[in-house]
Amino acid sequence: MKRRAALMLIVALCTACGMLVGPDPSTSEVALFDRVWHDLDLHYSFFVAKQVNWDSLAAVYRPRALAAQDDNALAPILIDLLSNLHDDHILLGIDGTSYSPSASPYRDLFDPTITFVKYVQNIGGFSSGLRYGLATPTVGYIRFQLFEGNDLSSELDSALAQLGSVSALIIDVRHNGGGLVENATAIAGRFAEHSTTAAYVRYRNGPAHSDFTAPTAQTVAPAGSRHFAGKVYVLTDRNTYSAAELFVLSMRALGRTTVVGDTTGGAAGSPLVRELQNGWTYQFPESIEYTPDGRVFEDIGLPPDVPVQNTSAEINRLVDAQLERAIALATLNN
Amino acid sequence: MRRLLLIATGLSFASRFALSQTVGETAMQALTISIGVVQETRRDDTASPLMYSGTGGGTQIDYTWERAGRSAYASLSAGALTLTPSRSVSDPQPEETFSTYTMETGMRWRLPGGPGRTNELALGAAFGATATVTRHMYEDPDQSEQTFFLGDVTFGPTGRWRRRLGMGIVAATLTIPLLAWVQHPYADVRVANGLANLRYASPSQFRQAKGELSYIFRPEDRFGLTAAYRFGLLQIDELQPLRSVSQSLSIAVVTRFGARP
Repeated sequence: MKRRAALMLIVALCTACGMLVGPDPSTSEVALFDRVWHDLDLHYSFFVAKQVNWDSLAAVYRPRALAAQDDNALAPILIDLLSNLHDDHILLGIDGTSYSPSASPYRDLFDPTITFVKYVQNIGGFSSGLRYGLATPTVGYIRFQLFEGNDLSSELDSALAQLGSVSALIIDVRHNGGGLVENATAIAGRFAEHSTTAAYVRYRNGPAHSDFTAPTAQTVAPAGSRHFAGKVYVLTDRNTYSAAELFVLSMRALGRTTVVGDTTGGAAGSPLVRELQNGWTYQFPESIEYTPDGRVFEDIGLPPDVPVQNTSAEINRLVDAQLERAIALATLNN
Repeated sequence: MRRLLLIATGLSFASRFALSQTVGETAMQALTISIGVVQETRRDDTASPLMYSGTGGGTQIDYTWERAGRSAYASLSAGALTLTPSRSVSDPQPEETFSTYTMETGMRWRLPGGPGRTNELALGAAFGATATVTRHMYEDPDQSEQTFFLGDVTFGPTGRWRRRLGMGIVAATLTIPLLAWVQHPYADVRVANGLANLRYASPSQFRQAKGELSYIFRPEDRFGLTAAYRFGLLQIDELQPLRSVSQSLSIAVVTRFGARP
């Protein structure tokens, strides 16, 4: 009897907790729309930079959300709304599938398989997306497919140990969509002799679209057990994004790096993830990243020091002009 | 005005407490170590529109000092919980790992009537600080994880009622902070790094109540047991509001030294 009373008391207390916290918001289509719109209104960082009138977009799309009968009808409305921001970092996650409302057209002018077939003698590679080898006896090559994973820095240390005798290094971040900012700066730290500012970042911190924190310096500092002191050539293309762009900035700040290839994608910063009351998720940038001299490179990208563009015809002939130029420069300057 | 009155009252109590050190009575002191089950229900709009709830474990260390109707106490507690949405939204469910750390110290003075009374009431002031860290794991395609922080420093009145019941003492305490400074960053901790500021929150923005109902078994013994139910209510009304209710059931071992009741 006492046990039942105790159980009932616990159930009553838990129910009371829910009542005190209040009910979850409605899952109606317009409530979901309002949540997304309001969240971006409070947190999205590029309204001013992209000159977007967010209120007027609500006036256009909210009536459509009001008329939507179910979540399936709402999804394309949200995608249409978000596509107006032309932002590669905006994603809508629906039942485990990711939708990119305004992804830049993918320019597939790079084929990583050509690298190890034709140009680089493979020495090693790891599951996390790092692969390396020798382009010439004195020029090493390391490709980072992504900056994801917790072991990437230590795997780079192993790679540098095995490439120990080379005097120049090519680091390929083409088609690298980014990953963890910490990885980007930690990896650049293997090439740093002293601490230096690679970029600045400002975060949205208030309801006005122009509310931002003061710039915070993103620094690159010596890190790791291995240090490479030779010349470095970083390969970039239009599909080098996000944390990979911070890596480019970090390497450039060190002063011994030449960037070869095409301009980067221009989608920096790590996005904020949010969830809706129906389980959908979405992400968008909450910060603006700046070059050390204070320039915004969102949608613009970081131009290379040595511009080289691959063409479809070259790729079809198994020619990687960007890599060839980097190898030539590295060999010439040895 | 209310703030000034509160501070003046606190200082007055403090001076009386200091004067009482000269009185030649032996103080009762107790050290209590509790472990228990903690339940939390919360909705923090900076992380999610959904209500999250769950249970976990917690521990608390209390020190109390009491002499001639005056008492001082200090407590430290920590808890770790796993929270999930109150209703199913995806499979697998998003999840939060929630850690909470609190510190509270205060003084209470027994109201006139003396220790022989059946019901004993004491009033005083309490200073508290809380920090919570929420690691929110989103069920987005990238399985993203973001960390949110909430901190507060509070000051306000506290009251205690107690009476003998059977072989022990039943006690209830209630603390309602009236002054609060809050650190509730605008978004996840990346933003917090650029916004490390504790700001004053007015009573219309910050409302909190903390209470405890406990039973102290055989308070005359040098070693004893205490069972306690604690609750905490918190409401922060701002652009991204937060509401939380926490409760815990705990059992504690007590070591008493000095005088005994």
